Amino acid sequence: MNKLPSFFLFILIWYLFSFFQIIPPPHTVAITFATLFIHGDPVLGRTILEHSISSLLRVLAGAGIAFLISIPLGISMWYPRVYSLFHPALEILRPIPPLAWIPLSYIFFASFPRPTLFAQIFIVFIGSFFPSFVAISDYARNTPYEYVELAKVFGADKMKILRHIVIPYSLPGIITGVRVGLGVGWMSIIAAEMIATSGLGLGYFIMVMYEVGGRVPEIISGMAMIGLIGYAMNAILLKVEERFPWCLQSEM
Amino acid sequence: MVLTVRNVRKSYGQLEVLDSISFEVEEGNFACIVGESGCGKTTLLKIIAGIEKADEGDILYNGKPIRNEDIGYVFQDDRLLPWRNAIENVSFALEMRGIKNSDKAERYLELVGLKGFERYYPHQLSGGMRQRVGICRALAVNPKILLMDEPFASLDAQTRNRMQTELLRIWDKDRKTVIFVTHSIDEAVFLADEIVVLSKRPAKVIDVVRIDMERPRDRTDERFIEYRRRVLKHLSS
Repeated sequence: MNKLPSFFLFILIWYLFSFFQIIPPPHTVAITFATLFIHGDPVLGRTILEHSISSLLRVLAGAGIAFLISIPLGISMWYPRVYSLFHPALEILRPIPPLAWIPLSYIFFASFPRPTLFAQIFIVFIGSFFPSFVAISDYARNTPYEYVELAKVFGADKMKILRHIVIPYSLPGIITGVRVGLGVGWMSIIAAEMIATSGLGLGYFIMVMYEVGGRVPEIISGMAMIGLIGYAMNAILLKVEERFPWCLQSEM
Repeated sequence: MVLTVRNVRKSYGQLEVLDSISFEVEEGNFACIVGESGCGKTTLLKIIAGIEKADEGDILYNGKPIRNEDIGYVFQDDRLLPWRNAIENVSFALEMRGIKNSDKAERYLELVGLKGFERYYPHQLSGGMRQRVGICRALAVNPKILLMDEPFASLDAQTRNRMQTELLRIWDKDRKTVIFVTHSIDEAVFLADEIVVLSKRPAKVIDVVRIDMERPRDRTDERFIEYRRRVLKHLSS
């Protein structure tokens, strides 16, 4: 797919809006972006790359912990008993957005050495856990009975079926789960950073640029960086996903 | 050495599928089970394999209940695992049974004419090749009894005839006991030492037809046609 026309259309609409002085034009933002990249921001003195890496590391920590739990838990949903034990409770927790956890998590982690950091990692954890869990458990639970029957005919017990059928079959679901989980985790960290001072981070950067007097080019640069990183993470994992010929249709 | 199916009954709720099925297959014989679609042939085969339970009756091998290690199973669909290549699909059965692979998987692939295709994934193989891998997988565990559930049903007529000849060639090497389910009378007469004819549901054994013809059989031979007529008469009545 040629992505250029879409990109040009976007720039055109942007120019249209800037013509009516709603937002600065793309080239102004581009210059600001380049300055932020090389010299850093005027208030905190950090480059946009430093902010990005700081946010990314928090996402990797939170999402990493989430995957450590969501992968084995999602796979074990193949057992109907485990499913009926966990699923109803998780379905009540799932619709609570990560943002709604922010106040509680700041209170909960208040006594920790770095409460803000822990709270933010926890919010990413919430954001990453549920979508990845859903994607993985969907695969595990839909493991075709034909494959299970095949394993049984050759004498496999439950453990062997889990290891040689359910887990490999669910591999595309794990990749999808990681992709979607990272995406939601990425959105969650930006939101979490906007609420409490973290010293560094893209969300925090945007918030500071707002508070020092509405520096729109900087704000938009920060938003652009969020978009670019999110896009890159998604694109890489989509490529990995395409390698599995037995992929279920994912709509996320 | 004999496989005995004794008074096997099976119902799914109100639906009676198998009505007291009994027959025997001698060691080294190639038996075909024929019957109309939906008469319970696959169910019977799964009961013999031990993945379905009969409501009543026994499956005995030399007078003792049959064990999982005694059987190899070929499915109607090839049922290869898409994440394993040809050789890994064959060794899957070995791994499940806890048998040392050494070069078994490779040797069997060569036997069915798939040398050079070991690293191909199922989606890269033709229907006939996939089914060969399926047969290979069942043979690799060195079963006493090979159960085959309409393995060639989804193949085109020419491939199907070629696979039948191929199967007889492989079978001739060590003459395992084979139970081969099919609804094609032509296929049954071409392959079998004996044909177990099942009635409509609930299935009963109507007749066991011994085919006394040397192989390879000529499908246009008068005796061949006579056997076909005999089996067909049972099924159409």
